[in-house]
Amino acid sequence: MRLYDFALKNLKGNLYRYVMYYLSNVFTIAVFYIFLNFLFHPRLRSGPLAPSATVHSGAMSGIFICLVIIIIFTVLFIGYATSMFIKSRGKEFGLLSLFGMTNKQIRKYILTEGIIISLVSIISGVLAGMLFSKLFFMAMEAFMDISLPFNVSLTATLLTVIIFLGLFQVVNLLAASKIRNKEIVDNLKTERVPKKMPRYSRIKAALGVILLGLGYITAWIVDGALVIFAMIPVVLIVVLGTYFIFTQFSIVLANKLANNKGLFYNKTNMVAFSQMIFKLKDTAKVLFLSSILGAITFTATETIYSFFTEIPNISGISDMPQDIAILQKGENLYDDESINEAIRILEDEGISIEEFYKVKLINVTNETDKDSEGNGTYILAISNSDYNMLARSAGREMVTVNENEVIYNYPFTTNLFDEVTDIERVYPYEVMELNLNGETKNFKVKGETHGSVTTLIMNYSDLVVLNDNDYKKLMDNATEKDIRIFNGINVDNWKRSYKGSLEIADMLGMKYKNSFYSKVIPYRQMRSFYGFTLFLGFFIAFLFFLATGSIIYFKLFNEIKQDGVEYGILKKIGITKKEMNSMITKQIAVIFFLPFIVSTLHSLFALKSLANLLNAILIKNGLIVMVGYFIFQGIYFLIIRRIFINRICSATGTGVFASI
Amino acid sequence: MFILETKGLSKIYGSKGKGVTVKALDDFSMNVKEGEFVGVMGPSGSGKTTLLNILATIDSPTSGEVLINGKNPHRLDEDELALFRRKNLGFIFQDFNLLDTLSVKENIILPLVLEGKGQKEIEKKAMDMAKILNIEEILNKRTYEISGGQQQRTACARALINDPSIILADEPTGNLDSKASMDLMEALETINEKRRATIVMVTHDAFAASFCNRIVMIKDGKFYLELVKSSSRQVFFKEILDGLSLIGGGYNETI
Repeated sequence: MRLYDFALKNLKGNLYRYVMYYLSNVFTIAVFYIFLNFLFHPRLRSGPLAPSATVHSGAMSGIFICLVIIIIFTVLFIGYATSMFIKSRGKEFGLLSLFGMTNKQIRKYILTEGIIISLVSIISGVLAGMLFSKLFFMAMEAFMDISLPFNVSLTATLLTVIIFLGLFQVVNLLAASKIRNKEIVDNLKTERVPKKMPRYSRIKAALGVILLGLGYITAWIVDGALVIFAMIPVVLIVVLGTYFIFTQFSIVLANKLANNKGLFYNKTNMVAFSQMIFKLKDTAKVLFLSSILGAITFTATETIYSFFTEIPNISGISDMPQDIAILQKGENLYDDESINEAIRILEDEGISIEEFYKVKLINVTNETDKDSEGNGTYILAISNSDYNMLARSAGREMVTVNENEVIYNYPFTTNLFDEVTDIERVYPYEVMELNLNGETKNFKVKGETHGSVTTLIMNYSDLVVLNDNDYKKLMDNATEKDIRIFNGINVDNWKRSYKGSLEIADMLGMKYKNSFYSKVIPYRQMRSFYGFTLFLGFFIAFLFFLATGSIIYFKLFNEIKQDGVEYGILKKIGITKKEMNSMITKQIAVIFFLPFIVSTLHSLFALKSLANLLNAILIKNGLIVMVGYFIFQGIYFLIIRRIFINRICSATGTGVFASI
Repeated sequence: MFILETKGLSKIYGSKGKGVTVKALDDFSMNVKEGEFVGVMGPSGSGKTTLLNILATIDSPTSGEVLINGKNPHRLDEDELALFRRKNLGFIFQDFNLLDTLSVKENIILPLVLEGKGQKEIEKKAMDMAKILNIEEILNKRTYEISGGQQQRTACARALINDPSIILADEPTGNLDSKASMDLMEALETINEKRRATIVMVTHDAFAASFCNRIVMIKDGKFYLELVKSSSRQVFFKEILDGLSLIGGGYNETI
């Protein structure tokens, strides 16, 4: 029998042991493949990916970041799974070397076995990836509004196979070299050495709390642009703090709990707590890693989700006073037919019109404010009474303009990131010389208002408010080409007006190019872009979520034999199923939810920082994301708990005195 | 009044109808009175372990019945059995079966804690037990810090702490050196005499068995011989050795 046969036979015989390891390999490879297959999709490179170039480049950079994250994830995860797997078989290798297998042969054996498993994993992984590619493409189609027909990319397939073949061999080699350095006795005893009582250092535990507190306080109070400078030190402090919290403080806390006799001597608590101390010690580093990973996931998801919900604010859509606007000018000036048609289309769609404004504006030249070529700039004149009517509807301040005076209306409330204050003036001049068809008149600028009352239509945005009498005089002088009729429509729920708006745009046609605006159209465009990002974010988050879960799973099940022995003893003494379940639940719950709580806390403070930066309140978003994760984590916990209990039950099912 | 009665116990391993069946116990009956210290001896494969498993309510007999305090535990369901064991039985194992994650004291009080007893009662009983078994100094040590003899005495304390109706011991000296064996058996004797604890012990060791009041020998699943201590331990030891040579099979090395 050659070594190869031996490895293969052993693999066949112990198939159940390899299942978990195999499945996690398949999962990782499938994810990697799906993503590569998407990346190499022919439509993605030649065809138009999204409506505009900015969206395209944004999406591509998003995809690139995802790729990097997935690669890091893959390497870490496969590495971890393999080393855990090899470690869990210490006894087997110990026996082999006891029977005279040389280290070289053992390494060869591990590598042979590794090659077999990796080949099987890669084949199944790629096949699974192909199957689920369609699902992924469908999700992408929905989010990005493009068609992605099913496609299997040869490049992606080859790349996946080569990358994973290499990765598995490197990881296996590393794991095999670890085995060599151990004494046979240690290997044989890996499962039986009684664990020493965990030690801890009070100073380090306190340091952990202090560092964490320091990081949190900084994240909470630092405001505005300082957030960016504070970010890296705060992250470092918090990561270090978390490390000490898990490796030191958790054990201090568990010991404190164990010293509380009232609590400790309460039925199942004694066993549950004391085992927990050991479990915490053993899993501290894993818990630390998974809570940091979790914090990153939470924060990323919350950030993306916040952008998603804040689209109307960020894009300025929420500043628009009317939901739908149509501007009539030139040949369309008397085309009331189209306006009535538009209203009818909306009503046919089941959208009720709440307000409808028709306001005449006059296009005049402001000779005071000259452009670079020395010509005056265009500005739209509105009568004081019309302005107040629109202002009231838009919830803006109403004004009174005397004769020979004007008030300048700047259509934005914010200038890039800063709020426009009342003291700061956008229009710097004291006078405004208005020119209409060669007739000029000087007006005194009484003041200015910020925030538009007419929904922006392309270039026509700045308004000048005139006294009704001055406006009338101006109107007498105006010709058809100077007059603009602004139609503003407010509907009951503008988010539902997408279909109607597209229909109106169709109906109005080229004549109204640049003269029709409906909030919902840019909103939908933004949404599809952020929706795509959100989807990618969730995809990555899902990966991380599964990864952290699996790492904890590996760790738990690696020691299930030891746990089985302990529960076997308890069973002999006489514990009911319910009591055993309660002990197991308490332990697993701590392992599962401790990182969750820490990640949640971290991400809440990170979110507070983000809120400080963006000047927005994002706690609600954070909580929504958190509840979502909590539900997932809860389901995962219940499943793992069930499996664990079943495994323990079968491990302890033997008779009391059968040990002889 | 018998604490433990078994009537016509049989245990057949292997599926009926097809294949090989093994009769591990064959119409075996024995009674144990309160305060008795009974040893069960017999060659390998004689059915000692099967008997102990059935008495421990871990295994159920194919036919016959077991009465502990007049009750038949084999009629209970799994959880009721667990509680029955906890309240009525104490166990001492060859390989101690202490929990590594608990200290000596915590191991001892485990049955009481699981019962939800008050803290004061727990502390008091733990101190009593420790005094009887002479393990007061090691109460706060961990299991890996103490010797095998100390571990087994800890296990004794755990078995005894909830005043069980009967203590079942399976080769308690099997993993101990002669000095530790001596200490342990003396401790069991003390428990038996001073606290009137009823003990059923399975053993190969004639020296350990000489501490009992009565020895029941099994061969091939059947009752073979009964020896009752009448005079000193030394005399009883001789009688046991004679009995063992009579029963034969695998005992030569212990003589």
